[in-house]
Amino acid sequence: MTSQLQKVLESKRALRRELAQRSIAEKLRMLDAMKERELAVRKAGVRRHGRRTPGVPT
Amino acid sequence: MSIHDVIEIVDQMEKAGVIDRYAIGGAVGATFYLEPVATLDVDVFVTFRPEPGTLIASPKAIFDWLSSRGFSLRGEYVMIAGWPVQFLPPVSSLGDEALAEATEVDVDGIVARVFSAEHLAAIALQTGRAKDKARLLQFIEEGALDDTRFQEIIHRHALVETWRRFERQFLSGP
Repeated sequence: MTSQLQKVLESKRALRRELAQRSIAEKLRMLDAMKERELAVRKAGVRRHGRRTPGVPT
Repeated sequence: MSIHDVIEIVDQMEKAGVIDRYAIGGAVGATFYLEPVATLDVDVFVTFRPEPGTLIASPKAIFDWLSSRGFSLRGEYVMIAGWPVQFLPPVSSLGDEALAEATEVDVDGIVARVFSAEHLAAIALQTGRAKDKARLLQFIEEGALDDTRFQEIIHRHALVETWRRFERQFLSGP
């Protein structure tokens, strides 16, 4: 493993630790936001798929 | 519309006697101990009661109470505050123990009951899907487990060999 990659992995671990230490109320609010984003991404994916597939009802 | 509202409704159900002791598990439960774990639903573990006159346990009383208050059912889920919530009975002695020993946490003035980190980790080990293994690794890497308690749980529930396999696969050095 290169030292550059090690630095990247360590910074990711540090971010995860920092997020884990936030208050539970804040982490639950983040889950709410993550769910909304996930649903929006899925809806956008369905729309794109529909446009690329002529003749298939969406 | 938030998970906080879901916890509030489930707390009301317990206080109203619709359900007995409940505990949050799954990804939402894990978020109490780890960084937020993305999910699209909320798992609430609760012992189902038998319907009157039968010995068959059923979630009917739960669904009846919620639908009478305007919450919609979607398959096995109930939509509460925009979240699909699944009420699940514990399906193993490990699940029974996790429910009995769940811990209470204050979330902005509401008490939420959630599986302990060690029980969530043991359930992930027992379930064994890829995402469960990833979650177990998160618990370990973040030092979120009381190792003594975790070891006691996996010994009590015959998961020692599964744990050794997991250790060999993911935790042994190069």
